[in-house]
Amino acid sequence: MAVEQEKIIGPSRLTRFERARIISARALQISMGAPPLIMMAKSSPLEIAEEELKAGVLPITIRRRLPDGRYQDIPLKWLIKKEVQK
Amino acid sequence: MADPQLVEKIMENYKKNLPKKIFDELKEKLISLNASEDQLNKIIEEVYREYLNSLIEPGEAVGTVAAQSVGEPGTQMTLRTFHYAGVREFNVTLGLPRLIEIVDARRTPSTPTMIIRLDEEHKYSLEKAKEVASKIERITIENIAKSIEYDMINSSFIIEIDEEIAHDKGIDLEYVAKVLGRLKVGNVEIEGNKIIVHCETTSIDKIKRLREKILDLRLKGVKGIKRVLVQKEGDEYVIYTDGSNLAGVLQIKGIDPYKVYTNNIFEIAEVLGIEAARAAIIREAYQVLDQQGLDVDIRHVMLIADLMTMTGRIRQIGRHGVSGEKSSVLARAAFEVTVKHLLEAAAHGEEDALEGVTENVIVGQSIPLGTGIIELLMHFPRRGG
Repeated sequence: MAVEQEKIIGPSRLTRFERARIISARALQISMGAPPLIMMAKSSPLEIAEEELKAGVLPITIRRRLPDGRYQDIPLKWLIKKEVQK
Repeated sequence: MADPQLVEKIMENYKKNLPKKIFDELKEKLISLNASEDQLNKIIEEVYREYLNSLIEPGEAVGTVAAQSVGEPGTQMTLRTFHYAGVREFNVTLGLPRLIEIVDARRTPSTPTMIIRLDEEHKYSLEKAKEVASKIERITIENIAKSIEYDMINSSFIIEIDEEIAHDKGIDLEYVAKVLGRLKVGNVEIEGNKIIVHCETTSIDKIKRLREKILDLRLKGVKGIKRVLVQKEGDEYVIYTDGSNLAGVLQIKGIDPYKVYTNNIFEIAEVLGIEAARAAIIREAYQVLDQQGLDVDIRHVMLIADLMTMTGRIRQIGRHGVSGEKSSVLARAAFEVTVKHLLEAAAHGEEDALEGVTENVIVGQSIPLGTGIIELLMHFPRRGG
């Protein structure tokens, strides 16, 4: 792991808050009838959302803001890639 | 033993990214280790990863955690405090009263003290240390006078000086007379061990006031420093004082200006700047907690010190400081005297940007903390793209 790869605002991994937020948002979508993005045997929306996040198929971007108002849109892939590597 | 130069080279990249303390410790450990370049690289990487993982995540409620982490041990303090530890003949406020003093940002501590270290020339001999101490200790006429009387017939003050004490403090009568002369109350005469000060007034009130003024006349020493004590510490002599005047003491020759200590945070802010004051707040508050045997992480204390000093001057935690100066009307109204704050804000046409936690709780939105601070965007990939 090199010291600086892409310059990302904040940690180069998914924080536990982001993780919770993404899973909850996605689980809500699924529970309201959105088609799952992966094939799996599990049935609960929450579990499906978790699996989707793990598989890295969610088309979600996180907007990380600095206190001065600047922000960066960070695709989920950037953060998950690092996590898998770990 | 690893080659120090090799370690230096490998670690070069991490210098910017690791805190100095961790960096130095790692470097030291690596040099003492018998490892190959490959192994060294792996160790550094692992340490760096571990460091990144231990950083606080954005969204964490650090302020609340800090408040709780200092507040809870504080409740334990109340039970066994309010006693002063008699440190070397001086009373120093400790425990909860001192902690309150620090966070309330009182202008002067209830027991100001200084610890003054001496320069190379003076620190090894008691004689020389005492010489410096005598320059610092504030001596007034009261300290060396046996008696002071008012002669109604000649309308003059007769001050009898205790020559033994005066000599001990390194003061002679001529000097006292000269200083008294500067008061410009009238002619000053020396008669044996007595000093006579003529004054024209006959009003009892004025005489009384004049008497006080004469007794309180500073002959030598630094303003504000009441007592000094020379103590031996290891192989050097150190001066402890009752009372504090950082600016004054720094001008005395023979002290080590880099090692002067005072517990008056405002003096530090004035003389050395706000960053020094911040460091002083951290040191003082942490010391109190530590002395009470309470294990509070220093980062909580650091956050409090940051909050108190972020505006460039020292603000207290409370009504006249951090809580009372919040930019949000609703947050201030939630803290104290709700109606007054709301009325004033309405009169001034204030706006509330709803940026803080309190405001958002009040209006019933999700709060900008934890999962509430995360903004998600969903983008739908185009078909076939």
